[in-house]
Amino acid sequence: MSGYLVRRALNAIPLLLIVTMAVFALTHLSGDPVAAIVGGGEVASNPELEARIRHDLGLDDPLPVQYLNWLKGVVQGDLGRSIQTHRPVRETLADRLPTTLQLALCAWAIGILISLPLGIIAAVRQNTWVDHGATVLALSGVAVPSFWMGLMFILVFGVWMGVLPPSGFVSVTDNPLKAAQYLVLPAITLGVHQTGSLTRQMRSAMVEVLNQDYVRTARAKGLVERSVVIRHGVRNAMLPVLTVLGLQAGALVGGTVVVEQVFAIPGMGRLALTAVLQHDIPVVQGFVLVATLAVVTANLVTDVMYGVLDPRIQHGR
Amino acid sequence: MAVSPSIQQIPLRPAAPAFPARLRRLARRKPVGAVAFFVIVALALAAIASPVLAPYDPLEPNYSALRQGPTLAHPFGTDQIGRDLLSRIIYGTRISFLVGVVSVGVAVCLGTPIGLVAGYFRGAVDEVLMRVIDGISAFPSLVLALAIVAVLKPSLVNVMVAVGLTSIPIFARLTRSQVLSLRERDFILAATSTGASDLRIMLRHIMPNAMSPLIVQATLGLGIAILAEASLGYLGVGVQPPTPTWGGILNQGAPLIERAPWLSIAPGAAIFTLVLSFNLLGDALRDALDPRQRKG
Amino acid sequence: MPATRISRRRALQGFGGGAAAFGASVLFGACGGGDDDSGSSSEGTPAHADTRATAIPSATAKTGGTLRVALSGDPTGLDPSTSRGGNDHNWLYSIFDNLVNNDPTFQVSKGIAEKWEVVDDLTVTFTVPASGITYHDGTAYSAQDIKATIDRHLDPATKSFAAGSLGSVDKVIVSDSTHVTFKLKTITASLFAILGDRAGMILSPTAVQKLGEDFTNKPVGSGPMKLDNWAVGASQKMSKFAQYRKQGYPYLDGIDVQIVPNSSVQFANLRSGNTDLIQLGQKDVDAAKKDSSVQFVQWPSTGYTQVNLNISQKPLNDIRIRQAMTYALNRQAILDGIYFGVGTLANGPITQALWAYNSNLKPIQEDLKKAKELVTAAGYPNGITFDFLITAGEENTPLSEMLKAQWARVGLNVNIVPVTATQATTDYRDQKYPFFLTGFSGRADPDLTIFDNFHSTGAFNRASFNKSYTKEESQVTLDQKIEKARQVYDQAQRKALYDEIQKQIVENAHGIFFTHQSNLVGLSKRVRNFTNYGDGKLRLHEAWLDG
Repeated sequence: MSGYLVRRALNAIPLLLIVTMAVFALTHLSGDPVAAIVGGGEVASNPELEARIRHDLGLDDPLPVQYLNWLKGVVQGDLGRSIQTHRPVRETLADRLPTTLQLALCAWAIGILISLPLGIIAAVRQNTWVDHGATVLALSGVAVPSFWMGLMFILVFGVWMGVLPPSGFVSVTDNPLKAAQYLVLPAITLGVHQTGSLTRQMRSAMVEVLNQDYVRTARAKGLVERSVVIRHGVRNAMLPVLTVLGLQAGALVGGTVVVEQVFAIPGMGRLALTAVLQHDIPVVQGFVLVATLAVVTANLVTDVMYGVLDPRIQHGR
Repeated sequence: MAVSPSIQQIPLRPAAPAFPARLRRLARRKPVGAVAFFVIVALALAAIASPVLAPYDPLEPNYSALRQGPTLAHPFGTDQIGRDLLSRIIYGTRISFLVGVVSVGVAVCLGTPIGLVAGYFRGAVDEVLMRVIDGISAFPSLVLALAIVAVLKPSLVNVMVAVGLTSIPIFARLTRSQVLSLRERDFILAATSTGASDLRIMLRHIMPNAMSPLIVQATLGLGIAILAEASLGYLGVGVQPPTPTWGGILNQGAPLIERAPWLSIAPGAAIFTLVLSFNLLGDALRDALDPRQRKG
Repeated sequence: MPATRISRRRALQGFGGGAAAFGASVLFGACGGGDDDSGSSSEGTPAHADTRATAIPSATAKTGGTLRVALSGDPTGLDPSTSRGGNDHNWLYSIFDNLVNNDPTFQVSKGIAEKWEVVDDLTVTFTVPASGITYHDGTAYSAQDIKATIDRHLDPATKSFAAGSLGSVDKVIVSDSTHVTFKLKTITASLFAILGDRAGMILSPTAVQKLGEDFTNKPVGSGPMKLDNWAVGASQKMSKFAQYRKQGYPYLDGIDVQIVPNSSVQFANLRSGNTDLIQLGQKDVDAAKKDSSVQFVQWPSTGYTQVNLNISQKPLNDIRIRQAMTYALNRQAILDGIYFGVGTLANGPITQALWAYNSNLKPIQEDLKKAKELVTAAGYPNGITFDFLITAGEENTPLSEMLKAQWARVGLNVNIVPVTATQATTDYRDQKYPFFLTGFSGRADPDLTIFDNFHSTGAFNRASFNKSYTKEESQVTLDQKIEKARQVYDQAQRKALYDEIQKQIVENAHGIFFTHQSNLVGLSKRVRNFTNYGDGKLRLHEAWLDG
């Protein structure tokens, strides 16, 4: 097992190379970073100034050279500076990551809090209107564009009712109570997007478990239905659900892009969006490193859990 | 010698009742899925018949009717430059279906072969292909789509391609996992031992048995693609204006939500209805096509 | 509670131009009792319906309190040389002291310099204090710092975006501890306007040395406010600089800027009392006027909306196509549909916010017949199709759709290409598209607007990037006129020249203008002494709070 883990971890290196190289090329192809600097301004630029900026940023080197220079920095722990803000990329990422993690964790928790009960109820009342209703409810969350849902939340709770701050962010470490007020709307917006697959997974796992012999036996022994569901059903159905949860956790960071934009949360998603729009290559690359590592870790954890839960799957062949 | 005619008779698929009969049973057991199906059919008909159904030209501005609320003449109201919203929504149905179908098509056509080859050959091929897939999925799909559209130039076709490309990983992974579990099954081993070519085994024996989850995922993918088009527009780059797309209409209406709420309610409801219908249909299909649940 | 009553004063400055009548500092009477101390208040409401009030004697100003501001985005940086955004000034003007300032009507006024003199055509001397100014890092100022600041802009290694505006400066000489002389290569009428902008903001040389690339995020000036904290994408906190050169100033203890991208949310925060100052969107104007808990200020902006033309490219190199484009437009529909009726119809690139505004020029009237004839005369009786580059957005996308529909009526079929801002800049520069939908925020001096946009070598005129460009006749004469107008110091003379230039730009369709914009600000009831400058940039440090 540990050999497998080491090998998987080493596998992440070619992956990181492939991804950063591809993104590097894509960012370059889609527009000129220097135009992004001068074009965003109201000041008059000129070709000499642009050439100078290009040169000082090393953007007049051939692309492979630029990439290798960046890579050399990374190996030495230097992710470079944003070409837009002049801030060190490492500092920027360190600023933003905790914000996004707080949001993603809350959204994850909200997804679980909605999905698991819905899935269990749907399974217990299988093929009744309760089941159908739970299905429609769970899948509704996925059917609303999240920017639209976010705007509606802002309008209803933030503007019309004025009960929650319409946008912005306060860190849990600064003021937990305020943080909760700021996080609740974005976390729900993001969280309901998890409900679709999670509820369905919970339901089908429960249905399967409830049809198992040992559950039938438990019922036959005269156990109360509720304790059958909880003691035997939920416990056994959780295993496959956990793997879905793991995968979703990895994808959550990506899901924060729109939500952070709508709620003006200074996190990783908004950083990535701005950086891509401005062709801010060092920031894009830094983001890709972090995002890829997150996905690799989530995949790894999920794979390991598969192995643990289902001994038929063997690793390393 | 083990090669006997009897092997050929091993059913390649679990026996299934005739298709119409299954559909009827499905509709009875999954009434919500049936309703969703009919909603989709109705909207598809609306898409085909848009020129007949739409009361106005969806592109024609009317400067004497700027931002009017719903009236008899304009049941859904008019937009910022005086176009009839109902007509735009009706025409938008076309684009939504088109975006959904084409981008899912792109994702299936590219993702499935990757997953098939990776799962079938395993080893180094698998490693390389799946690392590429991991790479694609490492980046937030919307931001990736945005970058792709930027490289390709924004147009309806390129938006569909970009959304399709970002959905490749789902189909590749799904196919691969199906192939991995099918590979060890008796009927595949039997086919291998008859000396059938890899290609033949993949296409004739594995794919047909891996189809069910792919069909389900494709149905769900239609909804995801329609949402992605809307979100791309929100992030700044979408289908070329003035093409009426639901996402585009919603994006123009959203900032005016307080001044002209009808501009975002109608397209929002349209997106919600169609995406939810695809999701419910996909969900019903999943249960119907999953042999473990069929007995329920 | 009556709606805020706002009195107005027209501060006519020291030259004859009648168009100078806009702009003054503002007071909002605490209970509708703003005293009009000028005695020359005007009831005539111009099309802009600008609302303004009078300056209040600073003796009655209350000190203390934090001004809470919501703005839509971060500054691009706070180093006046490498920052480049039009909104940067909202911070820069509080953090830095300028050598001279532009007053609300774009006349030169005191900054660090107390006096200035045009010694001869190529020599301008400023009288400055020898000492008594401290930078936020505690270091002391000397007149040498003025030279150091300008020299830094001019050093190519700085990569200063303000360097272009200082192109005519030959050198800066510190004659003695109280006199700094600018030696010019050519007569530069716009010099004062330029020095009232980012180029004239004086930096702490010590901090520049010490901080290097970080200076832009940790700016050190000698302005009334110092930057304490900048959380990117979230907030900037500034506090009163106790050793500011003017005793008892600023009145505020601090300024707290929150970044709130959504304008509806900004407005909601203002109405609920969580914010003191926002820049309003046009869509919220009606609601702001009706809300008695909000002070609403509107005054003409130097900004205009337009399509930026590359007249070196087909088919826009044909004057008839350009004229057809301008005659085909229904500008009133654009104003009402896209801008909610806020602003005025454009008659050219200079707005009534500036003294050089040509009030005799009328906005071009829609004339479809004439437009169609022009398209036919240009050789396209069956119409012509070409690409139309836009930066996709809340305002631009519907605007482009409206333009497309209007042009299509006369056979000008445009194919809208919506891209991100960077992409648009790149593609337009690289001659991939003939024209580009973009606004222009306007400048403190007409030369800065006119030259950069309409001279054949102007920085915003992308024809200047086209190597195979042969100037048409109208461009040749226009270039001559623009060059002449920038070399006259006398404002009355310049006004006459710019009147003619504007006429030529509009008649020969060197640009196509839709609307002139308004600056729109919403204030909470407790804000006093908010001054509306014609450039629309916020001088936040001037305000004080009542309650």
